[in-house]
Amino acid sequence: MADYDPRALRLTPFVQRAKPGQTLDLRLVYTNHSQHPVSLWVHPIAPDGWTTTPNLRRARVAAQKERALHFVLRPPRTAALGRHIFTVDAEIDGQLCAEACVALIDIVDK
Amino acid sequence: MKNSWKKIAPHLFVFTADSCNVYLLRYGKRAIAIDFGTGAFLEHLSAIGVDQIEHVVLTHAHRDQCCGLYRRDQTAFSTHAPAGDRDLLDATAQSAFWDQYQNNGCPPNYAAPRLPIVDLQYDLSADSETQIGPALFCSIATPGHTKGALTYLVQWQGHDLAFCGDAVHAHGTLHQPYHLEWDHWTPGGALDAWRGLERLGYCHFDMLLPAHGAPIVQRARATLKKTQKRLMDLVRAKGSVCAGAKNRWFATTPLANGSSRVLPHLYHFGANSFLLLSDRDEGFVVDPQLADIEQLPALMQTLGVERISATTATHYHSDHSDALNYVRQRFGAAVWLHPQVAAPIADRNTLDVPWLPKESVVADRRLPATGHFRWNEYRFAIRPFPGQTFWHCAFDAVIDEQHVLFSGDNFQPPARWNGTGGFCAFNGSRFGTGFGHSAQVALDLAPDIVCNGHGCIYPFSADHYRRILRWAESAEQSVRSVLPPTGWPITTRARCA
Repeated sequence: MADYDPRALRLTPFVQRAKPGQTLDLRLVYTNHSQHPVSLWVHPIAPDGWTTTPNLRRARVAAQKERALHFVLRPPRTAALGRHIFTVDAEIDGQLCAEACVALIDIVDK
Repeated sequence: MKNSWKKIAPHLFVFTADSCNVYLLRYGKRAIAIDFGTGAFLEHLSAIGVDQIEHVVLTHAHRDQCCGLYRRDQTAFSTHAPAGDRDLLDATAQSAFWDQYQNNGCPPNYAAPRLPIVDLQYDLSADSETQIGPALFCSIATPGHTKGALTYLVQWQGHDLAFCGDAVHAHGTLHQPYHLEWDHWTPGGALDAWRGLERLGYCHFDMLLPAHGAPIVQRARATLKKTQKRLMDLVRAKGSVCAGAKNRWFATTPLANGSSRVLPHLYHFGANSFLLLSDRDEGFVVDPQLADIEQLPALMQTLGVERISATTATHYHSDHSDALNYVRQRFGAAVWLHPQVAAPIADRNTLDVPWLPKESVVADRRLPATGHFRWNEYRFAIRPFPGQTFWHCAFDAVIDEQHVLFSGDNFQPPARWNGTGGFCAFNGSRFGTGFGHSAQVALDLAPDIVCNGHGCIYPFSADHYRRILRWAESAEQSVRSVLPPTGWPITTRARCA
């Protein structure tokens, strides 16, 4: 992971609004700044009671390239209103980066 | 997760197969953990003969150090944290942190915990000693990754240990040094980090035990000094992009309404905005800002301008773009944007970047990434102009027989701030491919007048921009030298003028 790029691993959109129970799409984007391909392993971490599909993604990212991985997130119908933080645990070439980046999910009632 | 304990000294271990190093001080079958990561080490305690963790001590409140604590419902140990990081860990303060995350420029922290940690003891403060189990933790303030970060000096089994968190990394470098960029332009974070290491350097230790990278068990003091030197180079790089350049200002003519005349067809109003006049009584607005946009109708009345037909921005920052929608709605202007400027604000929720306008701005016309566009009798050339931020452009045209360059927050006269809008990774700043590239563009254009934001209107000087070009190379070297060896790609250097 490039040590001077806070967005080398990022979730997009960064901010989303949703109603309880509404499905959301999120992409994890990794920019491989290095001169060699890297293996990427991503495990999404959602707030308690939320579901994420898939629950694990693996990818190979070529040198100097970007790769996006898609996730579908569903908050429960009972999700509390307000801001929730979604994150991922990522392993880049075997090095674990826990909660490497976040996305903000605002649960609204209408 | 594999078992990754390494024995550093008698009864001192490090677990490296997590998102940070977790150090263990073992006494009998019990132990103190320094930092926690996801807590994966708890599954492997038997491998080093430990039955029970009695205490966890955090060096700083980053989520890679402590996320395992808030992912667990219950813990059978007491957890100790720096008192100075309470505003990142306490439930109420943390909720406010995330609610206000995008309200301003750089957030107060780039890796704040996602959830609060319950039952934390904030019993560790700089320049005080705390007895934790059998070990006395002497706390030294080493701010940087967080403002409250601490290094703990612990005497253990004949060794003087310094658990330094992310204050130092192996080889005299720093893990993710962008965490030291507490704001978008000053060297404050790096300078405070340097001071922390200076203070640490006055203390006795024979091992530096960082949160990332290999434990530094040999030449620890030399590593500290090397880190300090590199930090000071970074501080100096933040000082000025054009040190020694002569200060130049273009004399404008003040008008009664607070605006000023730059040229007969070009006016400056508010903090950052320009109004260009056409002989067809139309206006073109550059960098409109909501805070002072009401100066525009007064200026239009003074000048007899009947219509604003187009508006644009040099970069996406709110103080240069947040009135684009307003100018469109009130005056019927079309919003024209360079692709690099349009990208972060077409949907302002897409990217985690500083100073977003509160509303998204959808361009009516995408200007060419590199090329020309025409507005009435004026023919503009336009191109990317990265520097303070990556999402920046510059455009130039001949106005009243003067070659005028509109270049936003790149660059200011040397007496203003540090000669630019600052550099920081969160803003997407780059050096050879950013500041250096843009300085070379300006040198190639050699305009007569530079019309920039924040009232910075000045005659162009090649000497000024050559200094920026040289600075970009040395600043890039300063940043590169502080990165761990695999940290950053080589960029193509800009041509020398």
